[in-house]
Amino acid sequence: LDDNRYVDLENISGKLNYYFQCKSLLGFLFCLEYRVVQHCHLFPRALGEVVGRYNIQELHISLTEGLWRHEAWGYPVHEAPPGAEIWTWFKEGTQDIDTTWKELTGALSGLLCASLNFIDASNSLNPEFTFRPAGVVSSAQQMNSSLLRYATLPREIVCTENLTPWKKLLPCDAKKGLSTLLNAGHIHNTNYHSLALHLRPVCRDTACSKMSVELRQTVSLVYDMVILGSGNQDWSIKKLFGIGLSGACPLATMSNIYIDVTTNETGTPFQLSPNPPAIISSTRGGYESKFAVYDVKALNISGMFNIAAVYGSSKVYAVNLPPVLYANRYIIGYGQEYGGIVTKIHNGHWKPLDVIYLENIPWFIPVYLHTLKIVANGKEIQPLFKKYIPGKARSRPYYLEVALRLPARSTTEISIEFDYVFLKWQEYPPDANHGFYIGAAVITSLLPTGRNYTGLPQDGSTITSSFNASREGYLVQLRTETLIITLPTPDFSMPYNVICLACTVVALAFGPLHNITTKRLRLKDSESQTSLFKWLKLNLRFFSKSKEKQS
Amino acid sequence: MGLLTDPGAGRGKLTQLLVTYHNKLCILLYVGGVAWFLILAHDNFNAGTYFSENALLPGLVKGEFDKEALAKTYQSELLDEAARYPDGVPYSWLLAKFRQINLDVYTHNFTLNYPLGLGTEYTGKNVYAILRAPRSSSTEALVLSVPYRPPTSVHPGTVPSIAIMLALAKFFRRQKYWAKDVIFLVTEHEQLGIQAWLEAYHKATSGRSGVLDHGDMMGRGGAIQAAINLELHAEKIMFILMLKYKGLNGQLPNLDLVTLVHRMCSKEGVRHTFKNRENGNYRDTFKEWLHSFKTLMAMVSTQATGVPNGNHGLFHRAFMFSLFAFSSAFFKNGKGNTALYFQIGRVLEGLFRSLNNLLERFHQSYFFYLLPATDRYISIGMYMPPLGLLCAGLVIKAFALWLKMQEDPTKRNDSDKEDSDMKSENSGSEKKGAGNFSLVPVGMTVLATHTLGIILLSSPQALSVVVSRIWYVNRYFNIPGIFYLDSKHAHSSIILPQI
Repeated sequence: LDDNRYVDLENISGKLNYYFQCKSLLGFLFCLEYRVVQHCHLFPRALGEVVGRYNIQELHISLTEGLWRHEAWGYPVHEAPPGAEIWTWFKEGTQDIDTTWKELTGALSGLLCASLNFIDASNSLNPEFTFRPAGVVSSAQQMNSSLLRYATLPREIVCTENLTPWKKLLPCDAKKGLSTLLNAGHIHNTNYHSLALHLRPVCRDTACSKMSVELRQTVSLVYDMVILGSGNQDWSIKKLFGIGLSGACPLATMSNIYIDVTTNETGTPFQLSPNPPAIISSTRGGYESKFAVYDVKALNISGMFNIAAVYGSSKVYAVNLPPVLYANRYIIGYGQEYGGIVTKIHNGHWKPLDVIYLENIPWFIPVYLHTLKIVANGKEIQPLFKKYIPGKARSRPYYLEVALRLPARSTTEISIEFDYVFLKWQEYPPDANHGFYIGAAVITSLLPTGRNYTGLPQDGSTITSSFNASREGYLVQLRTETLIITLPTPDFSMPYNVICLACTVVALAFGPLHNITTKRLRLKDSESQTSLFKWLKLNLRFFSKSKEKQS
Repeated sequence: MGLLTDPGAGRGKLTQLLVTYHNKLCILLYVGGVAWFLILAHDNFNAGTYFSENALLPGLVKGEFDKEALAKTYQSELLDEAARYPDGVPYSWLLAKFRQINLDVYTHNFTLNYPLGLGTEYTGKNVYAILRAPRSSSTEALVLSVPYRPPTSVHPGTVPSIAIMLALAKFFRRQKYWAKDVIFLVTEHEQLGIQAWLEAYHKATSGRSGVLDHGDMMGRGGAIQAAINLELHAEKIMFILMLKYKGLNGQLPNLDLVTLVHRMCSKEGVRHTFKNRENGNYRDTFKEWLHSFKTLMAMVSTQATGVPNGNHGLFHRAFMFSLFAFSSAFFKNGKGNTALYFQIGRVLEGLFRSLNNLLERFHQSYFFYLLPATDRYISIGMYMPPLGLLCAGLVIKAFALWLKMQEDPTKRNDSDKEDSDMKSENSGSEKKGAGNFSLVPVGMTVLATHTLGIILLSSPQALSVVVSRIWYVNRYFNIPGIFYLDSKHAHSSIILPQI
């Protein structure tokens, strides 16, 4: 049984922008051989069973609150859209993938206490180009996108009930190690927090004779020091997490804390205390960065361990240098008849960039492909290729994937128009006037430079592997904003009014109608008339007749 | 329909009575309608305002705004700065201040190709800053807007409102409860600025295209849920907050929002008025009624014009139902408490926190109402019956005439002899008779009215060309700007009555 577990924490502070005072990423990773899932030692058994039962090759789940603002924060280590996102590669030869997919999301929903059970064929896609297997692929057949399922739940709200089951998947739970830092009260006070699970097959040696399954659990947090701080930029582990560190998880083979100290030389200088045992420098894609490393296992912590950063001078706001590629998305038009979705992609590179744009539009927002317009710097450009599968009400979302070449230093607008439609009255969610969510678009590109890039290379699993990892390109998969639109919503108190009105009308109309339709008019014998009224009537008739005779 | 098609109908006693007395009846109904409308202003015939939307939770939390000293500093700084730009906006100062508060700051350029007259081109630039909500992913937004007026403007300046806006921005930035982005917007050129900003935000052009080039903007913050327009003119002490909320074509904001502002003002002890009239406080019932009635009539008369009375009006079109202009005004007998930056800041803080609480956009309360006082309302269900009475006269008159046409001439001659006062009215239709009724005069009338309408509709364009040939269009930007908007929206309202 070969298992190793690896825990790390990265703290990148004051990088690039005043707004983004501090972002931190906790990554937990453990590998094990797939065959031993049945008697797993460190691998969470609950997840292992799900993986084995549903024939899963790869699984990526993220639960996120808040939006990663690329323009100000650079690229994250793991991209995640607001809400929940899940994409899965099934193994070759899996029968009836749609059913398996539905069952899988149901099981995961229970495992993570998230509403993943609302995912089914009506909101999932199998994009052909955007998502590739992140792990080792045994055959070319495995690359077939029919084995892939992708879905997002933009309305999902992530909170403590997701954090607790997520922590339970860790070998030390939240009892020991870096995971003790994850206190719900503090990490949900951030501007962005994202929990993720990434499961993929990896090679155990360079010859790839043996395969393992790797599970990476990550949490990304972005703190806003303007809200958190008392007027200064200083931070410490205790200030961010509310608690100090009490030591490493004994099951971990490695437990490190990395702090990006590059800005110490270029931006506002700060002093780390205690002094870092080691500083390593990494050159990646032409950009050099420096990290202070604390090896938690070697620290021999007794009591609580805290790392603090103290800034010397008062606030210095560096000019924000946005990353090479970033995007914004928004709804255009007002009224409740026509609208449009516009995605603006900014390419700050000096060369053209190839991107793939994946649009995932729910079935209740019918878009028109002929209105798809791609305008770069005021000139309309033709996409390299596009793939479109129209949606179908209640069974299939609109799928649009466009590959395009963004001109150098350009802003490209991709716009598509849609109609507002009425839904069936039971299809409106609770708080229907809140609006309906449209999931994030995914923009995939291979960046030529490593500026603002902190993602892990495909062949690596940990932060360590991203050091000095210069490659030909750096894969980014930007997730844009989710959107909210107000579909025409009926007044839901109206049925009540209608019922009241209809009942009154029916009650009033029923009596006379029933009378007219069921009773037959018939002559009666005059002898049988005995009552006073009838007697009067008879006499009156007689009186009038006599009057007629007189005239 | 039986009444109209059945030749036998209309011979009943009741209809004969109607035909005989319809004139008196019409007058009675009309007078009754007016009287009913008059008494609606009385407290016994209208209702107190209340919150339909429970999510607003107004004033539930204690106000924490304490940046009034900062606001005063901003005000004096801005006054100095504004003096340096007598005709423009001190952009660099505004941008720097917003950046210091750590907000995302953007500018927005727009151009007006003035459609009337000689085709002059005007440019403008708005400044806005977005406070990104820590609790959400920029799906929704609230707007606080202030029009900037240079010292040379004909309108009273708004420097104090920009000062309080900046102080609020600074205060808001440090709060962690925001679930909606807050956009702080400083517009140039009054309503044109706000219209251009809204059009750019939604990338939509209303009215004639090519007139107002709304340009493009960089930063956005999701769907705008509510917007507040702030105008404080007084430089030192504000006596009264005057609330205005009439939108374009008489559109009103949701009553919940109106109630919210009044309630927050009451809570912070800020004197607030509606139509520049405070609530009356008379012992005498008649005086009380008269006061309410005057307020009500002030609202009705401004509603009738359909022109928005402030920058807020344009927001209504975009389904951002809500907008108010706060404005300070020296009340005639302005005694009592004075409101300072402190109180106004607290009111705005409470307002934005309540709006931040909103889960759904405003839909619960009334969109059609009349206000006789700041805390009383007349809903559509209450003011429609008097209107119905006023209109009933017309219907009855028409119906009676129809019935008379149905009667055959021979019988009418008989009845004429009996009924002398109907004679004069019948004489016209008598000549034609029921059989040889001619459509020509009716058609001519319809045609004439339509032609007149079209001529009136297209007259601003033509007249302006004529006038500008004779007399060069004045250089003041604001005045033709507003006129232009009015004429433009008269067009669009006909095409799109819903918006």
